[in-house]
Amino acid sequence: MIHSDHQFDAIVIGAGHNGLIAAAYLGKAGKRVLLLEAATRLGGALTTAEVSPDYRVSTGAHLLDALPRRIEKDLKLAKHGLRFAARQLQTIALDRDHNHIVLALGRGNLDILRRHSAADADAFAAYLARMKSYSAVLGPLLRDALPDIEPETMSRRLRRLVWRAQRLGGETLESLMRQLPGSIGDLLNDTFETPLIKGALALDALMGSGEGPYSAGTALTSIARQSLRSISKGPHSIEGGLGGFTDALAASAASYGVVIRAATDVKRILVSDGHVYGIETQTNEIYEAPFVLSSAHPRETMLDLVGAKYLDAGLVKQLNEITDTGTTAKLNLSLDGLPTIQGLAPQEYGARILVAPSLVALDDAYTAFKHGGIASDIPMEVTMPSVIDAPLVPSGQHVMSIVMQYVPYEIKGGWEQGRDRLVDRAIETLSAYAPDLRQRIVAGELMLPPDIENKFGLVNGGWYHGDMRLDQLLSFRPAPALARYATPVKGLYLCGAGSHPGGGICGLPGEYAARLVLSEGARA
Amino acid sequence: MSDDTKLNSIVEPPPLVADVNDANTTPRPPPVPRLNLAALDEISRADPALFEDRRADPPFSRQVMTTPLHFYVASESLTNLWCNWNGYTVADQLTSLDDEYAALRHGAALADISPLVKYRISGPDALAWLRRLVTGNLVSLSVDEIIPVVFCEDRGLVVGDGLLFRLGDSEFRLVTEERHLAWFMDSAIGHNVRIEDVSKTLAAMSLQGPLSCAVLSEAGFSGIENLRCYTAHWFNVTGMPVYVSRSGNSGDLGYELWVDPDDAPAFWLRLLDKGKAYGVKAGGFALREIARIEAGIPRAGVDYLGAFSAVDPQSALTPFELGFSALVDLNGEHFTGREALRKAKTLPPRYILATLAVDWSAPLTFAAIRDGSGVAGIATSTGFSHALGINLALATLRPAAIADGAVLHVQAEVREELSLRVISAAARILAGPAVLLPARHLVPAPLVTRR
Amino acid sequence: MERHDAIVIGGGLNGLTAAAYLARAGVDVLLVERNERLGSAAAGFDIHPGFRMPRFTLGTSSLPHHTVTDLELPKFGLRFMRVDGGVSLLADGCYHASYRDGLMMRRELTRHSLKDADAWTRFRRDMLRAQFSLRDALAQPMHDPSRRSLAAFRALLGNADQLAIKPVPDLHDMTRLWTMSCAEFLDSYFTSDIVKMHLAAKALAGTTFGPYSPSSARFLMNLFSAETEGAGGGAPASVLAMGGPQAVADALGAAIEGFGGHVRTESEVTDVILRDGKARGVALADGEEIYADAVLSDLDLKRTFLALFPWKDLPKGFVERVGRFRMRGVTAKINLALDGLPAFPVVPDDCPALQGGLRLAMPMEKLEQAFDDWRSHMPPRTPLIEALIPSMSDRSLAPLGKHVMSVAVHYVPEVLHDGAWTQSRKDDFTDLVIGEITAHSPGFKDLILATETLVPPDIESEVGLTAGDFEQGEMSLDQMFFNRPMPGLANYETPIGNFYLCSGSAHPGALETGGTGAGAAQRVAAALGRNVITRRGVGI
Repeated sequence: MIHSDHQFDAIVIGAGHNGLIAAAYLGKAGKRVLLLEAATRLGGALTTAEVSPDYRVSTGAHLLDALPRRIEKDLKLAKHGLRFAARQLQTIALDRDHNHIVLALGRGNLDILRRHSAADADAFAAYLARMKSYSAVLGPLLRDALPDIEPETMSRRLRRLVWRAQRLGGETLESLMRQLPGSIGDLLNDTFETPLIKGALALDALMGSGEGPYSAGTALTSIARQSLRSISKGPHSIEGGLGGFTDALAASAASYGVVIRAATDVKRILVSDGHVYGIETQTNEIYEAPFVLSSAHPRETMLDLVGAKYLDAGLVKQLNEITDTGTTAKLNLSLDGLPTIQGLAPQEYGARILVAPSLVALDDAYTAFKHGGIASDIPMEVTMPSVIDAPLVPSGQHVMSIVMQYVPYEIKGGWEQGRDRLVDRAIETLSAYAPDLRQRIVAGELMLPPDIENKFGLVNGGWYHGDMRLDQLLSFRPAPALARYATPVKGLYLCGAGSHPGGGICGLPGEYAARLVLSEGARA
Repeated sequence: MSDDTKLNSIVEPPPLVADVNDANTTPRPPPVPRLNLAALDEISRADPALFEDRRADPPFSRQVMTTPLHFYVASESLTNLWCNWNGYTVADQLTSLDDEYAALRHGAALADISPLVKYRISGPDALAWLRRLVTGNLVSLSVDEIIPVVFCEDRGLVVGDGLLFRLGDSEFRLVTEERHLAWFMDSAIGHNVRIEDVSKTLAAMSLQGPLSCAVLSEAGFSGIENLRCYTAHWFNVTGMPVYVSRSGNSGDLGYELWVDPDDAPAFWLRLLDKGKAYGVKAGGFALREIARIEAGIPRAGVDYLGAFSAVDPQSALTPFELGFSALVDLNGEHFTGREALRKAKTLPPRYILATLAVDWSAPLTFAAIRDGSGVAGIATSTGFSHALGINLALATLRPAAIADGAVLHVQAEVREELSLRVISAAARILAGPAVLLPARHLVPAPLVTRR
Repeated sequence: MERHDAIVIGGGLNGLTAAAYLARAGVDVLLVERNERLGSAAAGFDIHPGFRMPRFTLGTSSLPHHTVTDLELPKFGLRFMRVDGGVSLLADGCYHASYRDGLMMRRELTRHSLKDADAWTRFRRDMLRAQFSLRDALAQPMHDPSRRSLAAFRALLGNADQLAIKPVPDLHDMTRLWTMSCAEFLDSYFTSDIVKMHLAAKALAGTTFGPYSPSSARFLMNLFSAETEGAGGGAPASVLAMGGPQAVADALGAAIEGFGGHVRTESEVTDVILRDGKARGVALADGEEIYADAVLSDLDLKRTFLALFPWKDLPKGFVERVGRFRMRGVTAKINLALDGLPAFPVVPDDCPALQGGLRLAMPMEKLEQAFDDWRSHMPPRTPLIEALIPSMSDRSLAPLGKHVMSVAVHYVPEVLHDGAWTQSRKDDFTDLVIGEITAHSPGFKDLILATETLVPPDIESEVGLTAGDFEQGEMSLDQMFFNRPMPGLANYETPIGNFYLCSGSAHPGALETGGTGAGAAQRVAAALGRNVITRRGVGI
């Protein structure tokens, strides 16, 4: 069969990781796939670029958290150049008094923790085990494909959940039931006494979310994150930054014959008689396909690209009300040498470093954030990828990649003035641990939530195409009528982070949507 | 003085002073020198606050809301019976239900229907928005045509129903029983459309009955007999524009007049005056109710609850369950609830709304419709049909009650001084409305001269 | 040696309800109250000769219909009045009132937004829907999922099946209400900030949640209940008892005695007598010992276990768990005797909604700030002020022409970050509140004849509520339903045999006035081989 240049089996909109994964799966199944990306480069928020000439770093996200091994293998990513600079990165909570805590079991780690509190050292193993068993109960629900809508299947799933929960044993089940609806702050206060470990574990749970440590439901958020992460025992660091991951995905997709067009902005999705038949680009080119998958934000896909007139009014209202909270800013620094963090072993410089001295500090930062301000102590997640991935920078030089949590989209007085203050505070906060940091800085770039929005097309600078809150998860993500990737427009599917299981660089929405399209295609 | 000059003197419009939006509650001091309204006029002048803009009044201070026709209707009242319709104080009965009914079915009955809610929909996407709102097919709706519509939410449950007028290429009027602005505006996301509640800038009256066409013709609406059912036309009568639609809910020939509140009294008086010889009488709300029950027309908020009012999810119904099937086009353009209704169509209905005839020759009050095994449904509207001499009810029934051979009855407790009589009367399901007269559709409409 | 079937420690509304239900079931019950008056937090007092008012609570008080009917309380002198639901005053000279009548409420909403007037229909529907399904849930016993009993397991499976057949949109609505923040939830219904501020201020008063706190939306549903809901389609009513909350307590006390039970006031229980790990009775402050087959405590969880028992008699780790039960005071109380009715020029004369109380509402942002101040233990700067002038509708409370005003001030911390609640701080606080009210009511200050200020520590010491927490344990999702007061303690049972918790610390807590008492009575009567008949769960 001869295809014209403008006819495909499927078109995927958006070449973020989910779009790439969806396209690659479809291509692998022998479909002729067109992948369109509005930006000039692929990868969405997963790119590597120069901070300053010759200093390269992951521009946006900097760690790979939850990519299932299955996707890695299915798409032969290793063959296509995916290299891990380090798997299962350690997470270290920085301590003002240089007794940094490694958030993992191990005798050395626990010895340091014991210096803070003997009780906490004992509690830590139990805590990890408990979180693990929680995610064993809830994980399948949170990360597997949603069951179909029939009450029997739903009931079977829920019964299985009850059964899994019952098997936990009285005490664990008791604490699960108690803590599930509560806040991560209360949960940690009930478990530990050291401010640092509480602050760090809470930040770990809250990174990227718009809720505070004492907000109800954050315990669940934390468990959800844990269970996503447990898919791949993340976080991992990628050689060449997360752009390396994007490159591997793109290479994989290309190897399956996926036609990839960057700098091609889709103007609308073409619908006739309730069926999708293609897309039209901003330059008025038309590409036709019986299946269109969109990894754009569900609201953008459905309201801007499809149009409200094909949708029920209530659904439009729900899409309109999806909340995206931008809470992070990214600061990338080029350094002319490794800053000295007292008390940090040399091999630990490549780890994932958390700066969150206590729940109080975290809560203060959240309060300031709520009211459009920045805290004096900014919670942050820091990596120095050049430590484990030297080719990123000229020899002897380094880059530091900092994600600052609780930075609002809008700030009182405006970002014009706030920009420098934020950078200053961030460096000040870090200097408490690395006194020579300031001297080492050669150059830097700051991305505020509005910049993240502009650069990566993430609404309000939120990471997830819809905040990962209970009312926007599972069958409610992005709205009850759209939860199973299919849309009211036949042939149009959602495959982005706005769909179950959601964001967090797990690639699952892309995979599940592609599999659904393949099974529907087979049926048709 | 001729009749015409008299009218002209009445309709001299007073200058607009108050907020146009509130014309319904702010009738001008009635400019009616020669009617027996002088006393009322006095009162209105003595207490101007009564007629002022509602926003000047705190919400708790005055519950009496009046239509622009209120004092003219009031002057017909021999009974002093009033009721509340959509927040407005309207006449329940004016002379007696018997007399009014006789006029409706043998002559014509004039009624004030200004409390209906009216929306003006305009803008480039007005048609697109309406197509997505209502379940019916609007493709063939031309200017000056009217279509009864029903609109649902996403789950295919009825939010409300109404009458849709196309006034221009992208200008529409939707007349409903209940208020829906929140739903309309919510569903306007993504549409370039303007939705205004114009209830208060538009007065309305209905003239229903076999002689209604004759009366309008007599009153100067020339060519009215050629107006087709569910169409409307602008007339100019004694210099005043009036939009007349051939519509109504009596199951018989009838018209509805949509006029500026300032002009409404003139038309009211003129129709009563010109219609005197045809047996025209002013009718109250009770007459409107029995007429629609006879015509088998459910009323929102009474016979069914809008999906946004029903606290129990089970009491919100689909158009199929309410007998609105004819207003649903599942194969046309997309509308809100279409997928859900496609699915609902394949399922057996949970309820069926039907007209019941209860064989008892005096008015009865009842709610439960019973079959052999218990309560089979609920009567939501009941009334005594003078035409048929029996009680009628609109009832929401379980499908089993409709099945062949189901024997239904109702029980009514009738208090007689200090004794109580329990009446058990048989109830029959009617295949269609009790009253549905062919004259509704006839073109030209019967223009009977004076009987 | 005095002996009863059951002893109830504490005469708060839950204790009284429990004792009354038990007495009606034929149980020989004794209720012991420390203070002179019954009612605990519901108690009233004379602030000034001739001026009576509720001392600790705002003064609206209702009991579920089934409790009133079951316990025949009208026979014992209880009368309720339903009045319009109150007025919110805003800084810029606006106000918003709640009317029970649907048309009035519509007209009121229309003043602010025509769209919101229509949106009210859906809002009211959703709140009533939630309230009805909650009522069904309250009528069922709570199975503790952590207890591995067959019944609990079955109940859980049943719940799973029920969830499975629920349409996803219904589950979504439910999830939104229970997890979203109040501000965000209101945004999906209303456009007028005034309407939203009015509802949020009313819903959040007295809670430990701010308008932007996740899971604060559910408090909106609490405004609607069978007692406050009228058929008119308007806003929920405020319900007042004739004679104030004290009258409710007195009627319950009379009911206990009327059904053959006993009430002892001015007797403080200091210990629960234990034998073989089971409660056998109580010891009073004067050394007297009274014995019973069952002992119920109407004290909050912390006070119950930390004060009535030697800690060594409690299971290992239990004291720590009790210690972690979150109780936080959030409300201060200012009681005023007034020389006349204060004028509120913004509100039209004779506005009936004023009888239901008034609030000084504020923008969400500011309300959240007040909440954040409380969280950081700051002395209040812009507290949420709620006031009720019960003498407007109940003339028996003050001399003719004079009035009492009950002011509840919210987001007031129990402990300040920089020191104690000294008298001068309390005076500053009182001045702040009176100043705020005076800003809306010129000359208000001059009407004041007498005043009394009670901050959370005062409430703790006078009423015995730990931390001055009226909810007897924060009503956060992790301390509700089977988690209330804590897993393993649902269904009113405690680790001590024959000893039950009937205070608001147990389920359903603040969700239903007297609900814990009624539930505990059922549980205890069953243990004693009796049957408590209640119409609980029967719709009206």
